[in-house]
This record gives sequence, C-alpha cells and structure tokens, in this order.
Amino acid sequence: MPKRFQLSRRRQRLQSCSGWTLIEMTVALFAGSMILTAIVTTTVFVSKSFIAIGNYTDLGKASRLTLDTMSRDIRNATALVSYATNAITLSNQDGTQVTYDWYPATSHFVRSDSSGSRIMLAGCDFLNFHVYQRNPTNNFQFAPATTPSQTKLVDVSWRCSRKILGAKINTESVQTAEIVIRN
Amino acid sequence: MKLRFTIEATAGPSNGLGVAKRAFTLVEVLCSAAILAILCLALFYGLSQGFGMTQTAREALRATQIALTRMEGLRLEAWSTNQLFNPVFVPPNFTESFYPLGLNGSSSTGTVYSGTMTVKTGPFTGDSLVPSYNSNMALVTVVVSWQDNFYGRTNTFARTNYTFVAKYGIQNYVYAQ
Repeated sequence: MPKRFQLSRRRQRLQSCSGWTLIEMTVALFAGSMILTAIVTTTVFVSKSFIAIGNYTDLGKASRLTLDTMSRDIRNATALVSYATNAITLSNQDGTQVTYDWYPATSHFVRSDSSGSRIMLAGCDFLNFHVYQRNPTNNFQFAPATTPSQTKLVDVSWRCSRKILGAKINTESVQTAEIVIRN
Repeated sequence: MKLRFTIEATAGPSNGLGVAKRAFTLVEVLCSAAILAILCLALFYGLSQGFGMTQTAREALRATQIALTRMEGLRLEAWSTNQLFNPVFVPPNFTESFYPLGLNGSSSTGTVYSGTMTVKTGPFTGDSLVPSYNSNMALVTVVVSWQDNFYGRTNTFARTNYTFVAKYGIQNYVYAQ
C-alpha cells in the first residue's frame, strides 16, 4: 500500500504541473480580451460622460455670471465710449470706465475697470458685439449704430467650449443677449 | 495517510499540497453575471438621465434667453407712436433657434423654438391690489415652446415670462429725444 500511494501521488503532481491546451489558451485569451475591452470602453465612456456633465455645469455657471455682470454694467452705463466687434467700453455714472475685451488668441473674455482686470470666460471660442440705435424698425429689428454715441442697444453672443481627452465634443455653452442702456 | 488520500481523490483535482481546487458553479456564475448586468444597466441609465436633464436645462436656459431678449427690446418700442401695440413692429409670433446663425461654427441651428408675444393693456381687474395707475401699463407675455428628441422620445416644453411696460417708461422718453 505505501508503494501504491507514492506512485499515485507522483502522477498527481505530474498532472498538476501540466499546462493548458491550445484550445484552452485560445478561449481564455479571447474571453480575457473581450472582458478587458468592455472594461476599458466602459471606463472611458463613463469618465467622458462625467467630465462632459461637469463641463456643462461649469460653463453654464460662468456664462450666467458673465451675462449678469455685463447686463448690470450696460444698463447702468451713461454711454458707450468705444465699440469693436470684440470689445466695448462703457462710461459709468461716477466717471469711471469699464471695458469688456475678448482675446481670440487666449480665448479669454476679460472685464477691466479701475480696480483691475478679471477673466470672466475661459475657453471662449467666439464672441461678437453688435450695437444698435434707439429707434426700432419692422419685425422687432433695430437700426445699426454707426457711432458709439448713437448706441442704445448692445447685442452680444458667445460660444465657449471645453476639451475632453483633447477633443471638443459636446461641451459647449451658447449665450446671446440684447441689453438696453438705461441712460 | 490512507484516509487523507481518499479524501483528496474524491474531492477533485489536487494541487499536490492537500488542498482541493474548486471552481464556481453554474448557478454562482449566472447570479454574479445577473448582478453585474443590473449594476451596468443602472449606471448607464443614470448617465443617460444625467445627459437628458443637462440637455433640457440647456434648452430651457436658451428659451429664457430668447424671452429676455424679446422683453429687453420692448423697452425701445414707443407707446405713444403705437409701436408697442403694432404687430408690424412687435410680431405676435416668432421663431428662433438654439444656435443663432454662425454661432455654432457650422450651418446647424439645433433645436427650433416657437414663440408668441402678447401685449395687453390695462385696466387689469380681478385683483383688489391692482394699483390705480394700472391703465397706464401693459402686460407683456412671452411664451417660448420647443421640442426635443432624446433617445427616441419626443418631449414638448414651454417657458412663459411676464413683464410690464409703463406708458411713461423708458421707451417713451428715449424715442421722443
């Protein structure tokens, strides 16, 4: 009996040391690659989704703050001092001035007054000002102003975006507004 | 020793150290796969709902922008020369898009918004708190409605904004200058 036991145990050790067959290896590799692909795809998709939702919220918050601040400044202004499609300067009741500039090179939209400058929007891909006179025309339109002193209505629109993994996909914020100077 | 050998032989393949190797049963695998599938479904459903709510919030914000733009422009429509109540100057129906022309960087305009704008003069009745000067005011109602299509479901939304225009307000003295 002891001899039989030793032979049987050696056979068992040999069996436990045997490798996988080719079919086992192929099936395992296939299943493993499928699982890994699913995990990586899911992880990337979920990460992108969370980043996109966060970007939407962040861009919306910045756009609302900027529009509120700019609406206040334009409504309180005594006059428009200077105008370009990417910048306006307004004079205040106290004699100070406030300027809004969009810099296409840095994609920053900056508010400047006597106390300093502040970046209101980052990642601003497009921004455009239009100015109009006080007299309306048909179909809710207004005559364009040719000089800053004629300006009564300021039209502004912008588009901001953020990148996800180097690509600008579905993370943008669009804002448009018309604001009347209440002087 | 004999007893131990017998147990190993009946328990399944041995690793030679006296510990039997056991795999998951089919029921265990099926249960774990079902739980994993439920978790994945919940995750993707949550994400899609998050995207849907974000998209709805963006569209609602744009609708509010459109309504505010209409109401802001009203400040320059003169009451005295009958611009405010003239549908040629203030059309009762209008159409806007999510992306104003050129703002998207492409020709796509996105969601289309349909709007109505009504200007109703006083006197307003039905409320004991209506002020005596209410006949010198006009109630402006702007309704903006739109539809979106999210994962095959069509939803209809609408936003309503109200404002008052005073007969002797800004539009009167500005236009009279």
